[in-house]
Parts: sequence; structure tokens; C-alpha cells
Amino acid sequence: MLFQSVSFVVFLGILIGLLAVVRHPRFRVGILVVAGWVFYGWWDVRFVPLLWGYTLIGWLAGLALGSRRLQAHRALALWCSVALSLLPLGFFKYAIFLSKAFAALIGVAPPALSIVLPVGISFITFEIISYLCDVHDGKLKPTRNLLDFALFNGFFPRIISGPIIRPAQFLPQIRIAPVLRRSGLLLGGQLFLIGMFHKVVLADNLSMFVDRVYQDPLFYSSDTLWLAAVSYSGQIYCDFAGYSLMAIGLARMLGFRLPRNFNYPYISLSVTEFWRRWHISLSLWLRDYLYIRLGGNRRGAVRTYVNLIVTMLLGGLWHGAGWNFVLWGGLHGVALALERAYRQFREGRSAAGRPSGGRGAIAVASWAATFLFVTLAWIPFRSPSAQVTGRFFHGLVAGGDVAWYPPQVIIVLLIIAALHLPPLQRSRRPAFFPRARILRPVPVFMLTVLAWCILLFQRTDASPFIYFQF
Amino acid sequence: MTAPAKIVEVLRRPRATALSAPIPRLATLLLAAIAATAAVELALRLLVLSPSPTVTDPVLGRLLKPNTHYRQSAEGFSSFTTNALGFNDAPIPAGEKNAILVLGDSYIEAQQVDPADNFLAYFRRQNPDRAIIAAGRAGLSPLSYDDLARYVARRAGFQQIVVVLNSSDVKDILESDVQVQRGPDGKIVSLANREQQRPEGIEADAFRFLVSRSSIFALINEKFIETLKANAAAFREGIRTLRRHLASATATSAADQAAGSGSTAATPKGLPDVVDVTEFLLSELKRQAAVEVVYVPLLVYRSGRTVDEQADSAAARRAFTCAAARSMTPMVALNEPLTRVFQETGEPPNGFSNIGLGLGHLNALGHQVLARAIADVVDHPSVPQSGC
Repeated sequence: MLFQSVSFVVFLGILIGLLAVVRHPRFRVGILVVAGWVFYGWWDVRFVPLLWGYTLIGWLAGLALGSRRLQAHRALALWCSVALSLLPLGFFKYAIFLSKAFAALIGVAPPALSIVLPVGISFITFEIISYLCDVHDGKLKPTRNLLDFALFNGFFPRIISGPIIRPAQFLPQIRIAPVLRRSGLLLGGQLFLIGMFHKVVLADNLSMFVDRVYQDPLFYSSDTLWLAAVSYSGQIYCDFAGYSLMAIGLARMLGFRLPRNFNYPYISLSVTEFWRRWHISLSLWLRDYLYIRLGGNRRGAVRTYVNLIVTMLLGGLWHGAGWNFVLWGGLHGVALALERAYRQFREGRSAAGRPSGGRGAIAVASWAATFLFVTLAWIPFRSPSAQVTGRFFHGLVAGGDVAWYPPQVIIVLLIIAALHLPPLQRSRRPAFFPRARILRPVPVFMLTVLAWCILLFQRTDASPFIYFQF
Repeated sequence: MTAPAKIVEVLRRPRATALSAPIPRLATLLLAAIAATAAVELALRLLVLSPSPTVTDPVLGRLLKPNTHYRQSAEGFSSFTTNALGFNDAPIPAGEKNAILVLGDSYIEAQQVDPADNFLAYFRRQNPDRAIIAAGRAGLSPLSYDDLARYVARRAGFQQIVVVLNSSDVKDILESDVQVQRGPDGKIVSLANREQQRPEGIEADAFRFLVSRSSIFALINEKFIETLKANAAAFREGIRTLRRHLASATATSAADQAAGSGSTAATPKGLPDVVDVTEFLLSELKRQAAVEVVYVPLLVYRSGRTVDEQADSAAARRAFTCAAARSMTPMVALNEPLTRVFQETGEPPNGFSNIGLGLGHLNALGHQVLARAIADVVDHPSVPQSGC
């Protein structure tokens, strides 16, 4: 059930109607839990028991970790429960990849495996792990109510592609009970509309161009390949940020607050800053549950760099079971390590009395270098194979004959650039209008235009959200 | 009290009562939404698409309104004015008797390219002493070409007919409700029930008013036509099933018997039938003027300037070549000239910047190839050897 489908609109309408009618808070939580299962089962009903299994294991493991009887073996219990949570992910996502790698290593033909990846399994796993770690660390008391935990694990707006929510942020919201409010519906509806615009108008119109260029990169001229590389940067941002906004908007409509997941990532002046603005919930998760647990920056400079690279390699592998994702993660890890080394080197020199550098020109150069790096790193991420990656990079220097500059792509890229303008960046919220002002003529005019644009300029051959595959 | 003081006084008054306030507020918001819709409509008309300019002809299906200006951007960007017959062409000169009439579907309607760049403009520039008339309508089946030629004959005379075919014509023939009547020797003697089907989607009668007056609805119709068609077909099928269930068994069996007693055979089933039908259609057209065929293939352009023909297109080309050979009709296929122009220039002769290069209809470069092929097949007619 895609957010932009008619079936989802009907589903949401029924759900809001039910929540409006049912007064008892626990019943409302129950309705949301069942809605999550229906939403998840809409893709493939076979995987709903998997969701139930995750819920049950996470809940029981949380209770066990919080139990006084297991105080002496808490670390072992944590490792066991985390390993148990990772098992389905390892099987569904990495079995084929690992079997191929192993077969290549020992020089035999890889076994013919066909495994369907349950949608959102990576996000579900990460949230369970964060819950278990937080309970283990004493940051969170284990929740005794299975219904609350089921809602944390199966809250449908973010179940497929995040944002990855922290139990400490979400569980207290369940306890105070979700309430439908007009302000929440208006603001959430607005965010949902803006998110949908990002997906169906901006991302999908870019994907038409990007997909075609990646089919045969050497068919196109170098200029076209550069445009396609930049377009993919725009596509993946609008696709994923659009989904996140829709999820945040839906949650808001239902009375919940989810954390912001994107904060104008393409204005970053460094790769480090990029990861503070891009997929924020994943970056924070990787920092708190992987990087810091590997030792973070507490074990010397070299170990810090290694930790950064390992974290990003695993982050890349989390995105997908393929060497292209490993390469993408590795590139970002190396860039983060180099930036950190350079920063420390520069700070040392600054401390010796040297100026640390000007603002204007250096800032522009830093932005350009960061954007160029991020854009080029997306090429292996997007390519279906290493051959296509090689052809694409070759084509960037010596491309083919066909120069193609689709006008709608240029317009969409200009819109994305305009959305990054400073006045919008200063806004703390991704919504255009504060909730108190939505029901005024100018916001209604603009949101109506936005709704028409979504209807009229969407692509009928639209692809699902990119992050659904992760 | 002075006038400004009165205004200040009015503004300072307490707001309207709780009962009356929501109505003007709602009205204001509704006006804002209507203004936004009007702005979108205006922007679409100026930049993207005109309201649907079609009229329904009982035989030829949907035709463009005569003498109407139209703008489209679904494939390429163009704006053009239809002539008195509703075709994307210049006005037909009065008293024209010796023209070349080009019949076809969307390839000949050529909505995708600017009128100054289409095959007609190129042909006229290269052959200033020859008259050419285009009668093309998107989605028109070759089954209607005889009627189409008669439709043009009311207005202008022509000596030669060039039929431009492509692989979608096979689908048009196979998916029509045409009924074939064969003689004792197995040859087709007549085709029945070959009128163009009525328009579907929201352009059908109920929404015609909106689609022909609003660019918003025209764009919705264009964008979702396939989905709407599928929904409409499913709905019709559901109604039919319901009717079958409701109808009495006696009436059903009587209807079945009546249908079975006719002498006509079923709709064509495959490519051999397409060959027979096309042969018949070409023979039929020859009663009006000399006929030549031009086939526009569907090619796939790849890196390294290599070109392949799509399997459907190759099968259609073989079927049409066979029909042309059997009916002794000169024919030329554009495979070689389209390939050559791509290999020489590196630019695909199909496709447009807004949908992709190398895909879809012929672009300006492809129209030059088509114009040259029309001149070539008229000047040097060559009947293909039987490829059946």
C-alpha cells in the first residue's frame, strides 16, 4: 500500500474515522496496532507473523534485560537478544550475498537462492536493537505492556522506511495516549502533502531520466551523464525526504511526533555535516549504537578513523547486500576519516597562531567539493552492477553522442535548489505554514496549487520509494 | 465622525458572532481554492496542453476539430492549427487534383514536432512543385483508411496514396471487432464492423464537456487514460456478467443461435490474418488511386551507434511486406535510412527531450527521413518480393 495510492487514502480515512469514534485510549492504541499489521500485510501477508515474532522477541528480551535475576548476565543477554534480532535480517537480506561471496572465495558456483526481502525489515531490526541497548544501558525501563510495544514496533507511518524512532521518544507518547486534534490533522496533512509533492512530482520526474541514463550510460554525452548524476542526488533526496515527511505528517495526524529525518543535506560544507543533515535518524543510530560502542574517538586517532570507516562500511551494507553499497559506505567512511584528520591538523595549526581560513570563497569551495563527492558517491549506490558503475565514470569523462537535457528535469532541479534557499532553511519546521495559519486564503491557495501539481504532474509509471528495498 | 474614523471604528468592532463567522470564512477559503484552480488551468493552457479538441465521427472515431489551435507537450512540445478537415496540416488548396495523399495514424498526424519541422514541411521544401496532403489521426486503425481517403476526397483530388504503417497497426487490426467474410477460395471478400471504437476513459460522453473545455481535465484524461480504460472495461465486463446472469436461459440460447447462423467469421487471430486483412485493405484503396506503403519500424538505439529492431516491429514488417507483395503494392521500410542517419549523426531519429531520446515517435530528424522515403517510393516504386 503506497502512501500515494487510492487504497491508502481509503485505509487512512477508515482509520481516522475509527479513532474519532473510539474514545477509550487503550482501544485507540489497539486500533493503531491492528492498522499497522493491515498496512504491513498489504504488501505480503506472509510476513505479518515475522512482525509478530519481532514484537514478541523484542518485548520478552526487553523484560529479561530489565529483570533483576539476570543482572549478572546482562551483557550476554544483550548479545543473545541482538543476535536473535539480527538473524532474520541476516537470512532475508544477506543470505544470497554471503553465499555468492563465499562461493566466489572457494571457487564454486553459487547456489541458486531466491529469497523475498520483507519490506522495512532493516528499520524494524534497528529499532528493536536500540530498544534492547537502551534497556541494557539503563536509559529506559522495559515496557511491560505488550500492546504499547507492538505499536512501537509496528507503527505504520514509519514501519517501511523510517524515520528510525527511539523507544525513549516514542513509548512515552503512547502512554499519554494518541488524540486526534484539528491542529494535528491540519499540520500533518500539510506535511503529508509536501512530502507527496517531493515524491510524486520531484523524485518521480527525475527518476524517468535517471533510470533511462543508467540503462546504457555510454549512449549519452558526458554533459548528460553529469546531469543524470546530479539528478540522482536530487531524486534520492526527494524520494526519501518525501517519504519521511509523509510519515511525519501521518504520525502528526494521528497524534504522534516523529523526529525530523532530513535538514537540507545538500547545503553541507563537509561530509561530516552532510551526515548530520542526511537521514538523521540513521546517522544518530549508527553513532550511538555502533560507532560509540566500537570505541568512538576514545581510543586514539587511528582507532577513531578505523571506527569511522567500519561504521560507514556497515552503514553501507545495511542499505543493501551488494558490493556497490559497501563501496559507497567505504567512500563515505574514508571521507569522514580524512575530514577528521584534516580538522585536527588545522586546529593544531590554528592553535599555533595561524588563521583558520576565511568564509566566503572557502565556504563555496567546501560546499562544491562536498556536493561533488556526495554526487559521485551516489553513482555506485545507484548502479545495478560494477560494470555500469565503470561505464558511468568512464562516460563522465568520455561519453557518447546523445546529448539529452529534459526540460522537466531542469525545472525540477531548479525547484529543489529553490527549496534550499536560506529563508526556508531558517524555518525550524519543514512545513510551509504554521498550523495556526493554514486556514487562511494564501495558504489555502498555495496548498491547492500543490495538490493540483501532485495530481497533474505525477508519473503514472511511478516507481516505489527507493528506500523500500532497504 | 469623519470617514477614516468610521473605518477605524468598524475595524475595532468585535468580530462577528460565532454563528455567522464560519460562513464568510469558509467562503473566503473556497474562493482561494477556486482562484488556485483557475491559476493552474491558465498556466496549463499557456504552457502545457489545450483542452481536448476532438469531435466524434461515427465512422472515423475521434477527429480533431477543424480550424482549431492546439498545444500539446505529452511527447515533444508543439502547437499547431488544424485545417478544414481537422488534420494537422496547412489549408488544402482549392481545386487540388493531383496531390499525394498520405494516410496514417499518429506518425502522420505528427503532433509531436513543430509544423515547420514535420515531414510535410520538409517534403514541400524539397519538392516545391508537388502537392502533398496529410490525413493522419492518432489511434486510427488501417481498417478505416479507405473511409479516411473518401473523407479527404470530398475536399481534394489525389493521384497517389501513400499508406504509412507501423507495428501498432497490427495491434489495431487484431484488437478491433472487425468481422472477416471470405470467398470460396479463402480470400477476403469483405470486412464488416470496422468502424473506430468510441472514445473511452473520461472522454466518453459523461465527461466530454469537461475534457473539451478544461486543460486540467484534458490532462487528467491524457495521463490516466489507460487506467480509466481498464476500469471502464472492468466495469462494462461486470455489467455484462450481471446481465448474463439476469437474462433468461431461453433468450441467451436464442441469441447464441442467431449469432452462430451468420456467414461471417470471427475477429482475426494472428499475423496471418493481418496479412490477409492488409492485402484486402490495400486492394480496396487501389480503387481510389495508386497506392504505396511506407513502413516505420520501432528501432532500439544503443551505445556504439548500434541499432536493433524490436521483435514486434520486425514481425509486423514481415507481415506488411507479405501483404504488399501479394497485392503488388510498392513498399519501402525505413529500417535502413533510420539506422544510417543515426550512425552518421549520432542522434536518434526517434524521441523527444521530455520523454527520452531514441524512444517513441519520429522527431524532426526522423521526419526528414520519412519525407525522403515518401518521395522515393512515389518516384521509384518497387514491389517487394514475397517474404511470406
